[in-house]
Amino acid sequence: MNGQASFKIGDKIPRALEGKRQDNLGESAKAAPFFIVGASARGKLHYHNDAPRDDAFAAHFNDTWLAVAVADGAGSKALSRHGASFLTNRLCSRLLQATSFSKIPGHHMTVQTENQQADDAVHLPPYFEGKITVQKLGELVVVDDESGTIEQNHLGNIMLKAFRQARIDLVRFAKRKGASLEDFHSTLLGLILNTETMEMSVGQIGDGLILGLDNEEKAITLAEPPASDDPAASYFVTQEDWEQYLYIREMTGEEVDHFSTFYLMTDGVANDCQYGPPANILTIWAKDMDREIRLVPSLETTAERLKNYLANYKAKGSFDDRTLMVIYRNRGGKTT
Amino acid sequence: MSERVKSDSETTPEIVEMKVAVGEGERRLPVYLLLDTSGSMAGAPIQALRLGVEQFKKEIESDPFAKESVYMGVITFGGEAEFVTKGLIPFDEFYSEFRTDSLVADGQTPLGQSLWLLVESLDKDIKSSVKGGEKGDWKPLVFILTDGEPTDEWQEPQQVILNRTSKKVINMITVGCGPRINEQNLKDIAIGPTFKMDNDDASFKRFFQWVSQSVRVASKAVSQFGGGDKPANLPPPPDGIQYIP
Repeated sequence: MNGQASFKIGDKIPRALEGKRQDNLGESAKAAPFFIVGASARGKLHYHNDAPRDDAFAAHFNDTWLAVAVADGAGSKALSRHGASFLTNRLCSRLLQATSFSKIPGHHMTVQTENQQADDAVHLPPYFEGKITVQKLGELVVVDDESGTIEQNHLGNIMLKAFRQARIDLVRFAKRKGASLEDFHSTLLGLILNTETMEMSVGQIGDGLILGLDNEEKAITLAEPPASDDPAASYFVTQEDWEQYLYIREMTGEEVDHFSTFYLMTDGVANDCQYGPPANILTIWAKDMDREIRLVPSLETTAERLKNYLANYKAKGSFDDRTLMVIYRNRGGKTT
Repeated sequence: MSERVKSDSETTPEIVEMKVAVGEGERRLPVYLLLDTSGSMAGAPIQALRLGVEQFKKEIESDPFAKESVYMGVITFGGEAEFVTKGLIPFDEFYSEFRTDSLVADGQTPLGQSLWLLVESLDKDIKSSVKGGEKGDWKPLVFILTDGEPTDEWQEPQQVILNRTSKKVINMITVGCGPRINEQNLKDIAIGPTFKMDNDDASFKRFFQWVSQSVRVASKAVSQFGGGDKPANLPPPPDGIQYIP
């Protein structure tokens, strides 16, 4: 494992801030035992306002680790589409870089967490559903609060570091381009998955949805970040106090084995599948999408179908950009 | 093993359309018009008000985004305050059924009563988002048009609206028309900006054009940063409608 991607799909990292952006994009790839299909479509409102697509998606793979991200640039910010493209790619790159350092056998320290000095503790994002994180020697590590064992490269910690580093990368990019960070305001949703051990972590700031469909065909929301009570407003990774609104969750291989399909989507799709009537629309949607995504053997055709679907489906009041990535495997979690 | 497959951006005829269910709920933009129909509005002002509302109806009807999401509530305050639409109604029902000749000038100016009716509607009619349940509404827009000072107690309901912690109102715009307005009073009532204008036909026309433009902009609002406590970015008012600083 050397941290190099075996493929990269989705929107490209922006080099310049000018030029036309593709209205609709659909791409796919295989990372055995998983298939990845992603698409993004410009919303009717963006056509009406003569504004480009502000959503983005990306997936990177390095023969073992799969990193996936989607983002929604704030429509009120002129450069937010570049923020979305940059952040999705950078988050994937940073996730793969971080996972290229494996756990060093025997490298454990025992810490008495009850007696942990206050100034040793780092201020955690409040929605970090993992283990206690403490700062040691300038590096973030994770402490199991029961055994007191430190594991330096825990997946939740990796996700947190990748979010932080992707944001720092964007700060530098903005500076080089003579723009402010706020010009690139964007949500960000990410997933990192070890395709051998099935360990996984998800992270989210802002609206959108990360969902799993389990082997019993039940739709389970995997991330619950804090949400604004105003549907017109969201939280962005580019805002000052962003870590207050970041959610991270880790899942063991055993937990992931219960799922056949994962979805990452921006709010343009999430708003149409989370709210009824009917009351169980989320499960109905997830099952329908799972069926449709597996209908045609050709991944290329599937990506095209998904892109067309996102560009054309009708739902009341649904005029925003729509972006959806689907990661799925054969039923039962086994490769055939 | 890895493999990258890129799709062509052109549609090929044999691609089978996906069939996926979506939720049937809608996110509504509630718009309240609180209209002064007191005795002092009799004659030309009330006629101009009726024409203005008709124009508003036509302009929203012509906007495919606005007419799909706007829900209207009209409350008059003249004599007794009345919730003419009996709650929030879909725009197409407002367009086809709201009769502007029902706007009749008579009596005093019970703005406080109309604000209490607004409070009841905010509690009863505005929907919050419930995951697995209904889509919540956008934050409501409230426009209050008056030609004078209230003749009842309005401070308490105004504070109740201002201090709401759920189903908040952050856009309650007051507009005074004619020579008898009290500018400070208008500013005290408003949550957001305050304006004034004359009470002739042209002024009412311009006012309702601006209201419809504001509603159309709000219906196309794209996501903003933050927890949603920022007032809407209204378009600048036209000449003849003057901001009161």
